Amino acid sequence: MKYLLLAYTPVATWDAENSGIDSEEAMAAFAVYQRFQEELTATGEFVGSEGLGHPAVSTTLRRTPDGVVATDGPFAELKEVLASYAVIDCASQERAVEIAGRIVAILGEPIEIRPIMCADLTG
Amino acid sequence: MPGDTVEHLLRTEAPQVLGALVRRFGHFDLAEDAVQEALLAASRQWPADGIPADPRGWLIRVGYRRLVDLLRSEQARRRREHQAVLAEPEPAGPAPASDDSVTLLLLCCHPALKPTDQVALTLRAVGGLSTSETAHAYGVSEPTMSARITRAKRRLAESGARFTAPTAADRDGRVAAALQALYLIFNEGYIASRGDRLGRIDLAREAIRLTRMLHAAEPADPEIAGLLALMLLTEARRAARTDGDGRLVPLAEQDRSRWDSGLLREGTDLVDGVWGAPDAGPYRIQAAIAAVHAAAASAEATDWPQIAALYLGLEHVNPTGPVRLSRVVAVAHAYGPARGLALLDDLDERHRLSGDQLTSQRERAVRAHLLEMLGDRPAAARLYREAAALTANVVEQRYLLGRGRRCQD
Repeated sequence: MKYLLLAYTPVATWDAENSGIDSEEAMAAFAVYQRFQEELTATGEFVGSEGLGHPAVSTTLRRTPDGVVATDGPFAELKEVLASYAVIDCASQERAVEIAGRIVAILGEPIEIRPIMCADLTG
Repeated sequence: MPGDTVEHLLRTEAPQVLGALVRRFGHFDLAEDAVQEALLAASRQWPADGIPADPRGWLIRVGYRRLVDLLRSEQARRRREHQAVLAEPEPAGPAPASDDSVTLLLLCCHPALKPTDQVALTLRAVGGLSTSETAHAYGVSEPTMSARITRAKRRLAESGARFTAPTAADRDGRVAAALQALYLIFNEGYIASRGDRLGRIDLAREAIRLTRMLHAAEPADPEIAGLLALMLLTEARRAARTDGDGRLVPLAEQDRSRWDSGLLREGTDLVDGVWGAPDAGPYRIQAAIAAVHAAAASAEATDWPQIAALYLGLEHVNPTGPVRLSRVVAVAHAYGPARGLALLDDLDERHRLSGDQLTSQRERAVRAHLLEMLGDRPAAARLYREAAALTANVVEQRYLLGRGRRCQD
């Protein structure tokens, strides 16, 4: 089963003056996370992961009667926004919760697990 | 830490940082402002705190944060909407330029922009100069230069110009526009037509730096090499071009030992390397002319017949008044003042050189020199005075008035 792990962060944290300048604490946590990711790669459960840009630099596209319209900015203004994602491929929902739980314990911010649907089980 | 080390590093990194932001996020106009602020922050912090281990990464991070701020305040003002053309995929162009600075240069010299706006945007976005430095260099107020840059960015957005390497079909036209802008920057620095030199950013050196960058990215292009050679050969004469009192020294009277032999050799080698390529354009021909001057050990040893022939070729590709006047001068040197004056009369009759604002001043100066050589000193004195009255360059004015007085003695 594939799962999408969505990591959220408060917009306020992102906008804080010192964001982008990583504290030693944050660097250490990230190093621990990287080792965990290597473990998951070894078990074959890690598919991919990326950090995302600030929602202000996103573009949202909508179909309208006049054609497809692009709007600068996020789909919805939220207090907590998507900061990064990972895709894992593991045996069960329980294992996905276990993996995400480890990441939350390391990095501190909430993660939402969304199962990725396959052809035999739609929406 | 020396401040000019930081300044040089910032100028070099500016286009790379802007390229990184625009490539990922679009919004050329805001990204360009964001990079300016990142450069400003660096110019304040680095001399005191030291240059960070990864200067480009530092600038990108600070520029990115500033871009986010700018985008959010703009989004708060109004939700911008525009029709997205999703049905048309990007045309499959050539491999992307290895260096963002060239893509940026070609974007800043987009044909939708007026040459003055191309120059202003190029100096800021590619050259990393601030608005106030650019304004000072051109002798205009900062709000005027700022408005010029804003207008240029708006026109770029309206024209739908994108931050992508040009397609093979329009590459030549885009490179030609960039060369013209670089040539204008160099000339402005060389002639310094407005006011005195005090406190000016060295536009000639800036133009050479940017042309070197373009040449490094496109080493096989003979016109780019030609323009670089022309600039180097001209720059080589800088020290000999004015005397101790800041007076203009004409080429014939220059102390050739003060010419920069390193620049002359580099420029001459460049010309020699590309002269065989077909369809020589205006920069290559002008560089060849400069190389003939450079090869002469003294003014008397100059191969004027060859220069006159090169000017005829230049007139074919670039039939303008200033080129025609230069050909008159070369012909006068090669075959005597009488032949020069006959050619000047002929060209003036056919192309109205004395009536055209672009050439009226120099037409008088050239005619004055020829008449002086032919012994008609009263007419020469009168024309020297007329020419002096028509130039805003103080140095040149003094030179012409001096020649005029000599004819009355």
